[in-house]
Amino acid sequence: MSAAPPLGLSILLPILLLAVAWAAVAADVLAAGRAAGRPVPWAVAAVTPAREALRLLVGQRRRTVGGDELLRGVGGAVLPIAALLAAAVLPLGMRPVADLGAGVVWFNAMEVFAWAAVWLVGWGSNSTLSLIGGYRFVAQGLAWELPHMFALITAAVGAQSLRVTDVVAAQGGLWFVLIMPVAFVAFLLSVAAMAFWGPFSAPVGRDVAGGAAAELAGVDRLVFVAGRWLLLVAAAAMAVPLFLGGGHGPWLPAWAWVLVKTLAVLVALVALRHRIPTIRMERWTEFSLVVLTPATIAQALVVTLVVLGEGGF
Amino acid sequence: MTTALFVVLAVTAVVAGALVFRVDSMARATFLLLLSFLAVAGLVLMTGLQYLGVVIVLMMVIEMVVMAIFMIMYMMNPAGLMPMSMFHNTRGAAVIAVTTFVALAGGALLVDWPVRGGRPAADLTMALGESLMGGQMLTMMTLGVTLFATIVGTVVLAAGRGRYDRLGDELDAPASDDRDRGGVGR
Amino acid sequence: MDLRSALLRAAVGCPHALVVPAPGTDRLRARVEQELARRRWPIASAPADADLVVVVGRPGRELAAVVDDIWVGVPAPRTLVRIADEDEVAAALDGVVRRLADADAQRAAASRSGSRARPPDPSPGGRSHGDGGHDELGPGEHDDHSAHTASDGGHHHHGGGMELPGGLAMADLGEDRDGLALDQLHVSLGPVLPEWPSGLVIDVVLQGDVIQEARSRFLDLDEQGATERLPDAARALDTAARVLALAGWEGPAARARGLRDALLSGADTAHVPEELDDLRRRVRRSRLLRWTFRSAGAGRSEILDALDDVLASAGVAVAGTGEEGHVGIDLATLDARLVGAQFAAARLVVAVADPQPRPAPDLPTAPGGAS
Repeated sequence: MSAAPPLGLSILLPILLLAVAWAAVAADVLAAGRAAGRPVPWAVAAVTPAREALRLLVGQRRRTVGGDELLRGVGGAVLPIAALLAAAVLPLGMRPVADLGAGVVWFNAMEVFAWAAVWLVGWGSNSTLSLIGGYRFVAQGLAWELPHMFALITAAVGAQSLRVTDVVAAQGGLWFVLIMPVAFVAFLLSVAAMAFWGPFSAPVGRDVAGGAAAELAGVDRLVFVAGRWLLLVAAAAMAVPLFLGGGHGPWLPAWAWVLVKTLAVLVALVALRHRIPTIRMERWTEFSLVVLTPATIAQALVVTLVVLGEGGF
Repeated sequence: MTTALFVVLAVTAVVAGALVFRVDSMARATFLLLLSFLAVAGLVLMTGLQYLGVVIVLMMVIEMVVMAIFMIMYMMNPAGLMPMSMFHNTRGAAVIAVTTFVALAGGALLVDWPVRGGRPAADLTMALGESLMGGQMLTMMTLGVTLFATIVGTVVLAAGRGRYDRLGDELDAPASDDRDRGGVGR
Repeated sequence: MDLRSALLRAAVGCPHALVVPAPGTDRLRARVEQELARRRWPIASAPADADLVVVVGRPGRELAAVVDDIWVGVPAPRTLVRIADEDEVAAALDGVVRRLADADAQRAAASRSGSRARPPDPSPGGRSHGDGGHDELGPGEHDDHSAHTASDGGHHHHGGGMELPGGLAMADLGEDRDGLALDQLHVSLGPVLPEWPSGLVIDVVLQGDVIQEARSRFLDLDEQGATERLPDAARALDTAARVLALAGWEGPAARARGLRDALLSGADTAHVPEELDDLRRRVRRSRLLRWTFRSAGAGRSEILDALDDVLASAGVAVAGTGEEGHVGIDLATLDARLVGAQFAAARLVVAVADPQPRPAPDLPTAPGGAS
């Protein structure tokens, strides 16, 4: 393990994540208004995240009869914690809170906790629709996890290191997105999928009345929804060190580049989200396993051959 | 500090593992088992094997959640707080468990462990990879392929409807006759 | 104190509304949805997400019981509004924020009612209110212990079956479509679900999320008053909006709703045909929609074809050139279509079929007319 995490950064990280999540929610409100043909003013969109959070803070909590409150509570709490821990290896500028030797795997392990979290919330609510939402996410998870892992591995192979800062350092000249576009696309898809968001929002879909979150009210819902956005932000931000050159870039300092690139990824995701419907599980599963997984394996193979050809390893 | 952490993790691992057999909800049992595994992963991390520890976390979370899905298949009641007994062959299991525990714990305490000679490698992940994939490459590859073939074989044997049922004996049907089509259409 | 009330006002300023329409009140419901959209009040997906319950029309005995059930699950601060006439809509919604922000009244109401939700300071007897054990299983979804035998009573028969803590029906075993003996669950879907036909309840046997048996019925059929139906074009757009919303395509769904409202208010309908064409083109061109809707039978999508038909019939009705109305479906046909469908697919089937309490007398009920 490396040195103890710098205190300043560890305090800064949650604040930054929340701020970016705020911006993402506001952008989402704007985009939703435009897609619906009922534009929302900037000022209204900007305060919407705070107002919704306040609404849920004031709101009463709620328990379902015969529900497993313990598991549901644990599940809800795990979501934001997992997002935060996953973000710990994220270089803010050139330095992450924790520069782990196996940082890429750490990120993967933390975000997999979302599986357990959503499932627990869906199960613990003691409601059929929540349960359907819960296991929809697991089906989805099984489908995105393999392409996601191969995308991560490809970036790690390109840098010949599992340390996120090494991956950034390897992109001083050429961003990885240019030499591994398939992995980048697979990663972006899995970003939305792991946050069960946008086209992958079936686990909390309207057809199951909010799915896993159907029975959540008050603070419980706030924690769940916030955790989901934090997960999206953390995962989208991870695309920057892995594929978009991290803090590398002219004129601006490294932290500014990371911020700009993260926001760009999020804006792209939000803009795309309102152009497309939700993807059904059974469609996605087959596509992911039959098309995306082989594609990412081939991508990993190509990158490995290139690295070997250049005398790596 | 290190000792305290070790004790906490070790006690968590054992107690959570024991509680698996005390709770009467399948979901709680599953996730207590996960907690036990996570504590073990913490112990592995304490030895400095970062990669192995994190991979244990990764695999165990996925595994336990997949197990939970099977649980729903056999018991669809959400929350499932209905008191139920999940034991079979209680006495035999207890004997086996106690014997195993005593043997392992006894071994751990009684064996004359060698004193560390060299120094740990600078990059333990790299060292681990080299020791696994260097000399043992053939073993690991054989093992991997065998495991994978076993999984595929089990699924093929268990599936009620294989690809020949879906796509015809020559596999030449333009599309399967599934009620719910997948995203590719095969 | 002043800051507190200001914060409270800000918190409840944009309440999420759960709309509970009585059967046959489509026009009034559309008016309510239009007013909610104008105020940018989101439509809640479930009681837990709601601050405001809007009961549309005059619920009969069965629906009234459902409303009571749902009300128990709505977290405070909360308020309930009953709207029975179009003229009342705006006025009824005007007072909502004030009532939600009235902390004293909310607190008094919370301590009075046997709210299932946890009170701010958890008391030891917090769980005792579930004594009857008939709280809803899910949003607007009622476990029905007698579902195995005959299930067309009310919602509160908790006679036979094994009682679990919380009064849920114990799941039982059944063969799934691969021949494995797996658990199945008896649940009732509706009448309060997002994008769900008013007053419809479907008792289903669910295995995983595959529906194995389905029996649809409408609540309060015997005491139903005069139904006010939407004009053909508006109804078709309403159906299309629901299907699109279930597909997770919120933007086009909101546009379809906007067109419906424009037609209903009759204020400015000049732009409607053009926008309708535009919407139809978008739906037809979306490859992702085609991909995700596609069902058995190569390349063809029943749901998408039906959706296209619906939009086409809306176009015809707007132009006033033909008398081809959107034909309703009878419940037996609907049930047959639901068997074997996955939950997501079943929701789409119901939405696109859009059954009505009574088939229009002058239109023949054509099975399969909707697709």
